[in-house]
Amino acid sequence: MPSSDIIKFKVLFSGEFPVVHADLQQGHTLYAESGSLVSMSPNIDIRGQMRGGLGQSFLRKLLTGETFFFEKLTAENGPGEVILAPAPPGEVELVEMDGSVDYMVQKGGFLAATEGVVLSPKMQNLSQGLFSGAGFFVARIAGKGTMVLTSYGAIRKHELAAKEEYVVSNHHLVAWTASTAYQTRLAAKGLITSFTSGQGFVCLFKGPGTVYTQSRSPQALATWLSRYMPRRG
Amino acid sequence: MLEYPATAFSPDGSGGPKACRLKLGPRALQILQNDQTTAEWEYRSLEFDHAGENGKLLLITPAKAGKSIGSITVNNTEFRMALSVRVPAEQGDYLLHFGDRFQANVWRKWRNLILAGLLTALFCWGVYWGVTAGATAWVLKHFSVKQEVEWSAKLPPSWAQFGDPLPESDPSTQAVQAILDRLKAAIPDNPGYPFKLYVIKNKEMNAMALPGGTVVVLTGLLEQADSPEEVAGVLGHEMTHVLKRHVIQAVVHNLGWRIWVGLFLGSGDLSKAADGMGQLGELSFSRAQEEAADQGGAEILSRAHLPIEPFIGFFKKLQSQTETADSPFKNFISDHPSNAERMEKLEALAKKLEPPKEEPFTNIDWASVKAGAK
Repeated sequence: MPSSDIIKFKVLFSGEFPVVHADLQQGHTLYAESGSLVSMSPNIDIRGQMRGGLGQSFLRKLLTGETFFFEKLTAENGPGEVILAPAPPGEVELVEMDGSVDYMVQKGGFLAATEGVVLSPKMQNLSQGLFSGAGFFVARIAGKGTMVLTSYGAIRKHELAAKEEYVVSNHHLVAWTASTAYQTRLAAKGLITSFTSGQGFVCLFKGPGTVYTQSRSPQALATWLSRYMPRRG
Repeated sequence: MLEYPATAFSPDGSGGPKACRLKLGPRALQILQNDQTTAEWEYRSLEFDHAGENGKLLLITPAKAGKSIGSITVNNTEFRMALSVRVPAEQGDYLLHFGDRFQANVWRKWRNLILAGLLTALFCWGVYWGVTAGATAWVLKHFSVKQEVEWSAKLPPSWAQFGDPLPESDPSTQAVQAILDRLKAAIPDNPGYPFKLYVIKNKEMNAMALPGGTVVVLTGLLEQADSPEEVAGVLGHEMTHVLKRHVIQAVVHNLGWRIWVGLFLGSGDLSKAADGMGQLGELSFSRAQEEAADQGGAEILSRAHLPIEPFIGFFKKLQSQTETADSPFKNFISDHPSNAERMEKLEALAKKLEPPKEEPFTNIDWASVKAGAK
C-alpha cells in the first residue's frame, strides 16, 4: 500500500480559473470538497464519505461551512488522474504538511487533501468570532500530507518571522498556521474613523508562521452585486 | 537522550514551518533536522515568549539568530520542565509558569464566550418581553372585544386538530350547552363575547378558550367528570380567561415569539408567523392568569348558584392522575400553579364565597352523557 502523501499534484491553467491535477498511483486516496470534481480516469472509484464519523461531519458542516460528505477518490484498479476545481474563480495553493504545524482555514478555503490530513472544527475566542469575519468556528487542518487551499482571486503567502506583525483585512483571510497568534482590532484609531474608512475590523497576526490572503473579498462582491439585484415591489 | 518534536522557522520566516526535533545538550539546545544537528543554541542566550492561539506554544529565539533557523515553537510540558532547570533562574521561573498563563487565556476565552452568550440571551429576552408587553398593552387598548370577535371569526378553525365537532343535537353538546348557558346568564358584565361552543369527540381530558370567546370541550373531559357541576367549574375557568382577555394577550405573546424565532432562524417570510398563531396547544397562560381564571371561575359558579366543591373535586381528580409527575420543583419549571396549590386557593375562596342557595343541575342525565362520551 503506497503512502498517500506521494500523490503528485499540479496546478493547471494558473490564474483566475485553475484546476488541480492529481496523479494517483494504485491504492492512493484523495479527499475533496463535494462537487469539486471536474474529470477523472475511469478506474478511479468515487464515493461520498463522512470523515471522522457522523458527529464530526455534522459539526464540520454546521460550524465550519465545509461539506458534510467529502468525495473520496481512490485509485483502486491501477493509476489514474483526478482533476478538481474550486467553486469561486481564484487561485489554488498546494500546501505540504509535515505534521509539525496545524493550519486554520476560513469557511470555503479548503478544497482537497491527501489521506493523512484531518479536518476538524476549531472554536475561536469572542473577539475573533465576532469581528474576524471568520465566524466563531474555523476548520483546523492537521496531519501529514498535501492540502489544497482555494481562494477568491489571487492567493498570497505571507511568511512571518518570530514576533513579526502583519495586518490583514478580515474578509481577505484564507488560512494561517496555528503557530501564528492573531487578534482582531479596529482598522483605524477610533471606532468612527474605522468605519468611515470602510475597513471596520482587521486581524493582526504575530509570527512566526504563514498567513494566506486572497486578493478579492466574497463579501465585497456580494455587496457590489446586491446593488444590481432586482428588488421586490 | 530524549528528543522532543518541534517546529522550526527561518530567521525571516521564509520557507514556512519545518518539522524538527530538540535535544537538551550539556550546555546548549540542539536542533535536529533530518537526523542532523543543524543548530546549537546556548541555554543562557535563549529568549522565550508565547506564540499561537491563546499563547499555547512556547516560542524560543536565540539572542543572535542563526543562518538557517530563526525561531522554534514547541508544545511539550516535559520539555519545558526539563529546560527550566538549564536556563538562568528568571527564565526558568517563566517556563515553570508558562502553562498557567496559557490556561488563564483559555479560561478567559470561555468565560467571555459564556458571559457574552448569557448577556445576549438576556438582552433578547428583555427585548422580547418589552416589545410584547408594549404590543399587549396596545392591543388591549385599541382592539375592542367586538373587533376581537369579528377577527377571530375569520381565523381557520384551530380546534379542528382535535377532530370534528359533535352536532348541536348530540346529547353531550346539548348538556354542555345547557351548562354554558347557565354560566353565561351569570355574567352580567359580559362585554359581548358570544361563547360559541364546540364539543369534540376526543379522548383527551381537556377544555380550551379561544380568541373571540369560543369554548372547546373534548369528550375525554365529559367522560372523566362525575357531574355537570365539575364541568361547570372548568367552563367558568375558561370563560374567565376570555373575559379577562388572557386569550388575546396569549395570542400577542405567541405571535411575538414566532416573529422573534423567525428573525433568529431566518425563516424570512414573517407574514407566515401569523399562520396558526391561534393554535390551541401553543397558547399558554401565566401563573397569575391561571390563578385569576380559577378565582373568576369560582365567582361565576357562585353567581350561577352552583357549588364550588365539584370544581375542587375535579382538581383532586387531576391531582391523583398526575401525582407521579408532580415534583417539588414543578412550580419552578412551569408557569402554571400545581393542582395542589390551586386546590388550596380554591378551598379558601369557597369559604369566602357563600352562595345564597345552591341549585345544582337537575335536568341533565349525566350518566348518559358520560356513557355517550366514551
